[in-house]
Amino acid sequence: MRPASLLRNAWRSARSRATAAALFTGAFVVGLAPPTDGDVWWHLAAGREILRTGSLLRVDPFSVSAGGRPWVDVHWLFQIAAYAVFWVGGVTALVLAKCLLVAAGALLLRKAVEREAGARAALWFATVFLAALFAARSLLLLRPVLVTLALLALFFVQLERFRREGRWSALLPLPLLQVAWANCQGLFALGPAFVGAYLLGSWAAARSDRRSPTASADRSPAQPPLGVHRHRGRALAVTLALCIVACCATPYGLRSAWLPLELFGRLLPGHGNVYAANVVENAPPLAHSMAAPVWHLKWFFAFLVVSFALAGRRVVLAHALLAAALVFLALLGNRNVLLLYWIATPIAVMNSWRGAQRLTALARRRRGARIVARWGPGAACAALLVLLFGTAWNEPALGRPAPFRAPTESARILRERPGTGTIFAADEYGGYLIWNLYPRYRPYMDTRLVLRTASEFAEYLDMADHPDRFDDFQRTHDFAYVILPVAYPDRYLGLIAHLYSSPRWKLVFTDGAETLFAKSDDTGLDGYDMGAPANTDRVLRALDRQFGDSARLRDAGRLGLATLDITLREFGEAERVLAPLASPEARALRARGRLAAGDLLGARGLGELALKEDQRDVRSLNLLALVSLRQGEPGSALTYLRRSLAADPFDVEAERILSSLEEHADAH
Amino acid sequence: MRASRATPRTFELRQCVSWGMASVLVGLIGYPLIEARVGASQAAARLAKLEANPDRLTGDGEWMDSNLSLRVQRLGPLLASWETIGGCGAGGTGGSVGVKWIGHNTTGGLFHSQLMLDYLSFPNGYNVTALAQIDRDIDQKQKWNVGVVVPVLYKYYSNYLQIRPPVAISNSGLGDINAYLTRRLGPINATAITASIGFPTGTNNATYKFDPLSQDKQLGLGKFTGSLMIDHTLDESWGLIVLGALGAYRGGTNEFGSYRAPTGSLYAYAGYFLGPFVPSLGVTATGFTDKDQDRGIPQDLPLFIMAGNASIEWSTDWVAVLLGASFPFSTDLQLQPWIVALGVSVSPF
Repeated sequence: MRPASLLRNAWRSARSRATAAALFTGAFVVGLAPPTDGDVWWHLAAGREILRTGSLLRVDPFSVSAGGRPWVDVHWLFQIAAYAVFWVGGVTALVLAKCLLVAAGALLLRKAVEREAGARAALWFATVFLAALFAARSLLLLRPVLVTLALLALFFVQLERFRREGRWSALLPLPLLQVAWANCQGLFALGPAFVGAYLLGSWAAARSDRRSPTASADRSPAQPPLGVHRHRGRALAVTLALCIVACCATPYGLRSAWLPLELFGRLLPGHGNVYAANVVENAPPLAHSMAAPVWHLKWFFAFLVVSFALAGRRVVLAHALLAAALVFLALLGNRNVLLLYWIATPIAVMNSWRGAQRLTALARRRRGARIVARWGPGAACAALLVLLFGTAWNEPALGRPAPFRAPTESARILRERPGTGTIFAADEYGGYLIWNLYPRYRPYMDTRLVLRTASEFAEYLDMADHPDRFDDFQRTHDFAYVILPVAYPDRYLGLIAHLYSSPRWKLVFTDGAETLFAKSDDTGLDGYDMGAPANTDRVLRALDRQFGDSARLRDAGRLGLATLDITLREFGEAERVLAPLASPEARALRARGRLAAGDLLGARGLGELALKEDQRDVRSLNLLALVSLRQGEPGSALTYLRRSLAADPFDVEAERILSSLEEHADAH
Repeated sequence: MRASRATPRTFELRQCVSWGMASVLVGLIGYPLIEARVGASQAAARLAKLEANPDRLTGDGEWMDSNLSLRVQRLGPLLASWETIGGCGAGGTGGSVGVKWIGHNTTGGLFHSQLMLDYLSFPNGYNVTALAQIDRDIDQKQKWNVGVVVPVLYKYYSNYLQIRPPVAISNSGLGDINAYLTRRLGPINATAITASIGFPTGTNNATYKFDPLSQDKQLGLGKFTGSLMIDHTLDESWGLIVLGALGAYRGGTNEFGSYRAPTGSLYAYAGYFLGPFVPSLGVTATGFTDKDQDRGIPQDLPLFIMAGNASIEWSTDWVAVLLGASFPFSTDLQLQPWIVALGVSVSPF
C-alpha cells in the first residue's frame, strides 16, 4: 500500500475513534446528575427485600393503600441489579452505572449509523444525538428505562444488520434479550414492536417483488434479488413470534405480558384519566398548558421533517414505521420523548446523510461553506462537550438525592426515633420513605400508581385540593406523621396550612422544602413556631451549612422557606427570609406576601417595579390585576389581565383569575 | 400532477411515506403556534365580555386571593387542559361512500380535523386517497357545522395498456376539494343533513405519451359535483345505530365526453361500545342511474352494489383512530374493488 493511502487510512481510523470517544464521553457526562426521581428508592427497597427474603415480591409489602395487593413486579431483575450496584458503591455507583448504560447505548447506535451511512455520518450523528440527549436530560432518570434504552439500541443494531446483510444470526439474540427486557421494565413491548416494524417493511418489499412489473433482469444492482424479502420476512416473523413468547417468560407469566397495555391506558390524555391529567410526566408535551413544555420537541420534529424530505425514495419503511410509532408515543406523554430522541436520531441521520452530502457538495463551491462543511460538525460536537461538562460540573453531589426532591431530613428524624406506624406523604416522597423506613413505617401512597385504582388516586389528590377532608381521612387511618413538600409541586400548600393551624397536629421539622408533622400529643418532638425568629434563623443556618458552596441552592432554599412562611401567614418572617435576595423571583414572592398580608400599596409598588423591567412579566401582571380588584378598580384589573393573557394565553394563574371573575360576574 | 412511466412500486410507496411523515411532522410543529393564537383570541373574547359590564365585578376582591399561587419560579401549570370532549355520533367525510366513521369520534374542540387514508385495491393496481377534513360548529348549540375536505390522490396501475412488457403508470395530486354545510336537528342533534359541493380542483386531462388517461385514472372530472346526505343516529346504552342516505350528482359529462352518473345510497351501521373501542358493522346499498362513460364509451361497471363494512374505532377525549374496511359486491356476487381505511381525528383546543 502506498504511504498516501496508509496515511489516509490512519487518519480515517483516528477520526472514527475520536468520534466514538467524543460520543461516549458526551453521553456519559450528560447523565451525571443526582437522582431527582422518587421511583428509584422503591426499586432499591424492592431489590433489598427480594434479596433479603430470597423470593420475589408478589404482593405489595410497602404501602398502606396497596398493602397486600397482588403486585406484578416486572422490574424485579432491574431492582436486584440496582441494589447490587448500590451495595457496591452507593448512589454514586448507581449514577455512574446509568451513565455507562447511556454511553454504551450511544455507541451501539453509532455503529448502526456508521454501517448504513459511513464514518463521516457518525460525527454528524454524535453531534445531533448529544444535543438531543442534552435537551432531554431531565428525562434521563435513574429508572428501568435505562435498560430499555440499552435494549432498544441493541434491537435496532441487530435488526439493521439483518436488513442490510440478511443473516439469520443477527436475529438470534433478540428473543433472549427480550426475556431479560420482560423482566426489567414494562416497556418491553417495544421489542416485538421493533421486530414487527421490520417485518412490515419486509412484507411491503415482498409484495412489491410479487406485483412489480419489472422483471428480474430490469432490476438495479442495488435492489436485492427477487424473493429475498419473502425469506427475510419469514425469519422476522419467526423472531417476532419468539419475542412475543419471550414476553411471557417472567415469573408473573401472562399477567406481566398484559401490563404494558394497562400502563398504556394510563398514558392516554384526557380529563377522565386521573393519571394522565395529574402526573406531569404523562402530560402531552405539545400542550401549552403543562408544567414544563418540552420546548425542544418542535425543533426535533423539524429535524425529522428535513430528514424525511431528504430521504425521499431512499427511506426505509421500517424506519418510517418506527419513527411514526415513537412520535405517537412521545405525543402521548413527556416521558416518551426520550425514547423518540434515542431511536429517531439515528434514523434521521441515516435518512438525511446522502441528501445532506449532495447539498454540501453544491455549497462547496464557496470557500466559507467548504470550511463549515469540513469543520462545522466537529466544532459543534466539541462545543457541546464543553457545555455538557460545564453542566455536569454545576450539579450537586451525586451521592445524595437532588436537593429539595426527597424528604431526607424527615426520614432521618423518624429513623432515629423508636416506634412504628403509618405516614401520609406526597406520593413522590413515598419511595424514599419506603427505602429508609420500611418495615417500621409505611407511607400511604407512593408512585407505583399501577397498584392503585383511579378512584383511590383521585381520593388521594382530593385530600391535597380540599385539606378539610383530611380530618375524616385521618380518623380512618390514624397516621402517625404527615410529610409534605413545600417546593415543587405546590399542590400541598393548602394541606400544610391546614395542619399547621390544626390543634391535632404540630410542625416538628422543616427546612423550607419539606415539612414533617406529628400528632400534637407526640411528646418526643418539639413543635416549630414559624413566627419565632429563632426558628427561622435555625433553618437559615441549616440551609447555609447544607448549600454553603452554592449561592443558587441557598437562594432556592430561602425562597422555599419564605413560601412556607407566607402559606402559614407568618409574613414578617417571610420578609426577613427574603431580605437578602434581589432576584425577580424573590421580589415576586415578596409582592405576593404583601398582598396576602393586606399591604396593597406595598404589593402594587413591587409589582410595578417588576413591570418596569419586564413589560410582559405575567407574574406581576396577575398580581397587579388582583391588587386592582382589591382596590375596587375592576377596569384596571381587566387591563392587567388582558396584558397577562396576551403574553401567555395559557398561564394557569391568569386563567384561574379570569374564570373566577366570570363566575363572580355570573353570580351578580 | 403527472402521469409517467412508473419506477418500481416500493420506491413510489417510499416517497409517499417520506413525504407523508414530513407533512404530519410539519403539522405537529405548527400545532402549538395555532394553539397559542387560538388561546389568545379566546381569552380576549372572554375578557371583552367582562369589560362590557365591569360593574358586576365590584367588591373588595378578597374572594380572588386564593387564585394567586406562591410558585414564583416559572415552571408553569401542572395539568394539561384539553377540552373534555365526547358524546356519540358519526362523523361524515364530505359525502364520499366507502368507509364511514362510526364511533365516538371527537367533538368539542375549536375545530375538528380528520385525516383518512383509503386504500382501494383492484387486480392491476391500487388507489390511495388521503382525505384531510377540517370542520367546526358555528353556533353554540352545535346545530350548524361547516367544513372542507381536501383529497390527495395517488393512483397506480401496474399494467396500464395490458401489453407485454407491462407499462406501469401512476397519477397523483390534488383531487376535487369539497366544502360542506351540516344542519343538525332534534333535541340531541341526532339527525344531520349535509349539503356538499365539490370544486373541480383535480385535473382531468393527464396523459401518458400524449394519450389521455381514462377517466377512472384521472384525479377529477373537471366539473362541479354535489351531494346531499342525511344521517340519523340512535344513541343506545350499549352502542349506536346510524341510518342514512346519500344522493350524489357526480358531475355529469365533461369536455372529453366522459360521464359520471348520479348515485344514491342507503346505509345502516351498528356500533358497540367496548370501553375506548367501538367495533361496528354496516351495510351500504348504492345504485347508479346509468353506466359511467370514458370518452363516450360506457364502462363495464355494475349499476347496483352492496357493500359490507366493518370498522373499529379507538378514541380518547381528544383523539380518535379508526381502522375500517369495505367490501362491495355486485348483484352477481363479484367482489368489486375493496377499501381499507385508516383515520385519525382530533378536536384540539
